Amino acid sequence: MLTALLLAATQVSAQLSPTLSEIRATLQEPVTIVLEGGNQQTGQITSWDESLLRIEVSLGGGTAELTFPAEDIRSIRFPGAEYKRTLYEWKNDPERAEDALALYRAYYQQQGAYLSLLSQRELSLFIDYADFALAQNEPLKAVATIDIISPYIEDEAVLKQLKENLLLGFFQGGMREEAEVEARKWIKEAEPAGFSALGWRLLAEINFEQEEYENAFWTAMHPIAFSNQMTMLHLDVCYALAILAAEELRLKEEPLQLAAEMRDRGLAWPDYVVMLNGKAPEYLTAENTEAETTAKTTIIEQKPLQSPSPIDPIESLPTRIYN
Amino acid sequence: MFGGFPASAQENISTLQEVLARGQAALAAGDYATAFKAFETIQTTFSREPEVSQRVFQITIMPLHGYAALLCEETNRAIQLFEKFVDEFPEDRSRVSFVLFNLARAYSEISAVDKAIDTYKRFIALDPNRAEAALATLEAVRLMFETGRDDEAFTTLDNVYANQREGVLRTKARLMALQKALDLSRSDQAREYMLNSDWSVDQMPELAVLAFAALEMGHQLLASGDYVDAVECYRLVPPYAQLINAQERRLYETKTRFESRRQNVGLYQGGQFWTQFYTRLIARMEAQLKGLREADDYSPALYLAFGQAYLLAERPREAWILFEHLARDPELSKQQQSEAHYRWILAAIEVGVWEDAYRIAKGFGRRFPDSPLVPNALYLLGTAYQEAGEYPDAIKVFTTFLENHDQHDLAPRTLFLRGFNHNFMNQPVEARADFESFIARYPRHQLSKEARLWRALSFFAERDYATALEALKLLAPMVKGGRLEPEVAYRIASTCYAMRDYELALSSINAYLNKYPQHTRTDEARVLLGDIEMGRGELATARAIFTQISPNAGHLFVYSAFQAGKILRAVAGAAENKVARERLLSSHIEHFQNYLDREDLPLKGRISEALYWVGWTHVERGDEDLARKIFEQALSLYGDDIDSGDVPTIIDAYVRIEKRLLGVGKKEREARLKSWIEEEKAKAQQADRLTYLARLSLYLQSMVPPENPTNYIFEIVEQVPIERIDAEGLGKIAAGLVEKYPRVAEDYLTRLEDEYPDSIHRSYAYYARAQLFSQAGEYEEARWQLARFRGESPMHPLAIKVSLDYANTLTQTGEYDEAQSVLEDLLRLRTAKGRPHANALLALSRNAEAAGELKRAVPYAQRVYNVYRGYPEIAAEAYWMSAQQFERLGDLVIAYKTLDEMLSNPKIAKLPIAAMAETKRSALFDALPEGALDEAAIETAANNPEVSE
Repeated sequence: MLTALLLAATQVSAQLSPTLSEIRATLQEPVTIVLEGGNQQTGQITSWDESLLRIEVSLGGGTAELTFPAEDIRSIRFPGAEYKRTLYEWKNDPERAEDALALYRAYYQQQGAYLSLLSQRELSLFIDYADFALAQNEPLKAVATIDIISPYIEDEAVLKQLKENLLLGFFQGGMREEAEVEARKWIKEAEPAGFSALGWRLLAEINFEQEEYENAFWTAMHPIAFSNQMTMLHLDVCYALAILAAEELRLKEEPLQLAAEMRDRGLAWPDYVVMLNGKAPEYLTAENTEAETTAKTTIIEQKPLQSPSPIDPIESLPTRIYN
Repeated sequence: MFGGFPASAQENISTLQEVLARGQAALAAGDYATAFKAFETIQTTFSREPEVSQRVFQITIMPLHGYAALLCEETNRAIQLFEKFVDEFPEDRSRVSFVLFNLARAYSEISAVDKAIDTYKRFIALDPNRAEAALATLEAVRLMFETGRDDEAFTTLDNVYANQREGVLRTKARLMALQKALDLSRSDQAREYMLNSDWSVDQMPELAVLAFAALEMGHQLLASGDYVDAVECYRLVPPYAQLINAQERRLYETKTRFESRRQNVGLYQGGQFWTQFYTRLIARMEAQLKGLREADDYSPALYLAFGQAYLLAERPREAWILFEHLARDPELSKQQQSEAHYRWILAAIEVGVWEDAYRIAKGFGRRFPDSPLVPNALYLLGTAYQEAGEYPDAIKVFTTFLENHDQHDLAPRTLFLRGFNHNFMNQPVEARADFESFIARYPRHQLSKEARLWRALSFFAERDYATALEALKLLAPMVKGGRLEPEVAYRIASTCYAMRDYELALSSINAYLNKYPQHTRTDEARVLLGDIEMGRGELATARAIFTQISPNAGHLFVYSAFQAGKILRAVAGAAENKVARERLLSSHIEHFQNYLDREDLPLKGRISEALYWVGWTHVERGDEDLARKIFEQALSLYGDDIDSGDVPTIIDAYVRIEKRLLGVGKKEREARLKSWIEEEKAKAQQADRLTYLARLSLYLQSMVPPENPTNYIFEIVEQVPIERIDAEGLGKIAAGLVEKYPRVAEDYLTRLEDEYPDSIHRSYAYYARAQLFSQAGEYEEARWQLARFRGESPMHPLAIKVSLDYANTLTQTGEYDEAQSVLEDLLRLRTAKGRPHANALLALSRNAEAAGELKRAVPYAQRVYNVYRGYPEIAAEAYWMSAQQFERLGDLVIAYKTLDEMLSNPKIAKLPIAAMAETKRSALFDALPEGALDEAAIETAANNPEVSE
């Protein structure tokens, strides 16, 4: 009896939840243009070139095409807004992640060409899309979305976060060259003790993958050196990379010192990073990891020397912060 | 708020109600004076009303009456009302906490502090777990501190911290404790609080207070030498902009939280407690934010101090990052940049990358030529080079210092140290020049006596013992009673010995040993005494002295052991009869066998030499088989031991014994040796003694001139796993393969660098790594490696090749003068005669050509093909180079004739380069005008002036 009741409840629930194709059908229904004067027109968009919008409206027994300049349009209402609740539910259900992505995509297909007409609040849907895509291991989707919506975002804090996600997207999508270029740009603009160490983290990971251990070490050490007790995202990864790179460089004291500090600062080994998964050294969890100071430290390999520039002497000096 | 009241006379009820309503309204509106007045009226004018005297009326009105009195500063009246309430209504639960809390406030306002504290405690006791109890505790603590009840206050705060969950109150309690500990100069306690608290910095409202307290404490800890804790303190300080942002955010959040709480919590549920708490907190935060905004940006000073703490806490890499960042920041003042740049140098020195440190130091001089720290930077760098054993570089830096800052306070010390470094380089003339200059310029300097000592020793280094002795004897009275007195005494004795004045040496060394039994050179002096007695012919006495040298004396023990052996041999040789000789030879064997068998020696060197002497003794006794067996046993013991470095020398010693045993010529001996080694190799391979196998192959390799190719190294690569090859083997293989098989060589090189970084064979690593850098066109890096080689191993078998390569890197990087100097030094070396000289001349030609001095380049190449015809491939290269030089000079006829002469040499004509020369000759011929070659006045290549060596 109980089982039957539960089954019935599930069936009813399933009936109530719309399908993706139903939602898609709704999304293709006519849009409503709200003009500056308050007038509204509902119809199917026939063309839009960022300056003129044409829609086909029903008129009497037939149709007519109306044209509106962009500056006359106050807002545009797309059908299917009620399904955002469904999107939210699917997002939070691991079993429906694929459907959630598909629904985001459907909204994007519906509205993506009209971003300049959307409000900042409406654009937040696509910011969420990019975040979700990244979390679902679809970095290329995230990169593409961020690339397109960034020019329309006004909030500096949001833009900053988008840049971070773009960088992560390049990296997770295997676009190493792009990731490296963007990471270097990010680093140039970043505060060394800021809220995120992402640029240094990714650059250090790239260096490490290429077995450039000295570069990896110094890059990872940069945010570590500047960090304070305020939260700094990706600091755990930087510590882990610095420790492993120091081991590769046969430095004697640094791996132990960094491991002890990482532990004291309450940072766990970032097993969520594929490259670091399962590579936590034993001494990271062992107590009493004070290094003996009697042994001489191995001198690390040197970066190739640059030739001195007569124009700006500082540029030519050996660096460990611009790797 | 109020319950219903029984009806009374119409007039009185309405009046009482009006007054009551007025009081209520005024209280709600915050008009406490009006409210107080109304409640007073009720208690006086309407006191006889039956409603007013009712318990329920009083229990309701009295707390509000007291509260209104308190807030309109009728504090005594408020106290009176609250005390009356507590007395008359002890059983009440809903209002008593409100009453007690405000009674405590009232006591506090009239400075009845003890009563206030006690009343807060009564409040807390009602319900210690409610959040308001923590508020009351903090208030009580504040009063405790005011009245000097500090220990009680700290204990209370510690309890709050321990028992409260994470949040504003917990952090506030700890922050209060920290501030008070600082105010009361309880440094250890403050430090404990600062470093061992969970500050929840992402949420705490008064982050600025913590930040500045941490900054101040960080500076104190830095000054007192607690560098690790200083780093921890500086980690609690966000940079200026970040702190302002955080404070702004916290203020906004706090205000928001306050507003929501104020509306949700009723008066008796603690609303007014929180009102007081948050009102004060917000006021403080606003003041802190204002102060922050008006303050200067402390971030550069923070990072400078932070970097300093890192540096002194032996974390130079972190320090480097901070200092470099600051030094490169154009937003900072020149003063700040220069300070950061100077410390950047220190960080680079501590990291140990000397070449970078030097460049950074030079950069400092270029960027801030007027900075008073420039000489300091150079001085530090020079001493760092010296510590690292990089003496040529130390001298270079000290010279730069003296050329530019010879009036600086550090100039005397720098001059002294330069002389000292010349000593390390075995350059007594240069060393003496510096010491004499020092003595002349700074006769009263604290190092002047040292300078005199080292000046005297410079004569010793040149074997001018008489002058050395004279200088030491002049110095002796000057150092009497000082630190140098025993040193000079010892040096006098050793100089006398060197002069073979054994009697004077004896009396000097005995005087030294009697007077300075604890001096650091005591062991050396005893060994010297033994040598002196040997010189005097007192062999028994000498032997007794040598056998008493402690094994802890390191190499002195080893030396003494071999001196004792020498004595035994000498005495055996002079023995009167066969029996005595036999006895002495037995003692000789026993002596060295004991030495070989000892396992307690910290340092046991010269093993192969000891083996040799044992073998020699057997030969002397006619036991040939035993003589050979000694070496078999040694090779059995040490041959495959990867940590033993003696195998090649054991084989050498064996060869010497065989030379004595066999009566055959060198060629035959070599052939027999090779045969024996091949047998050993076969046995080693069968027995899986692969380390030994590699060593044997390398020994065979060493028997062949370097220019003759062999397969031995390839055999090793094929047959012996890399982890079975010792440091020397790795080095030799890397060096042998690097030019033609760099990728294979790199494996061996990397293993040598990783597994044996301190090996004496690391010079091979420098050489091989330099070759790889050169192949990649990274000549600066290559030069650095070769410089280290030259500094550490001037007598290495590869030293000459390294000098040539070093010169080449100088040419490639435009340092033509220095390249020329290196090559000319090479030409002066007798050991470099033959092929190396020829190569040096070719390199000089290339160097001059690279410097754009073609005419100067020509004679070098000519000298090579005129003088070194015995090396056809080198001569061919010289011809080719010369022809090209003439062509570039526009002299096509001579270019042609040079190639013609080249190709007329039958040995050169067989070389691959001949084909190129042939083609070029034809091209030149085609380019020449008709009859140009027939002109009688043409100078031939052979007639050109030659450079003299």
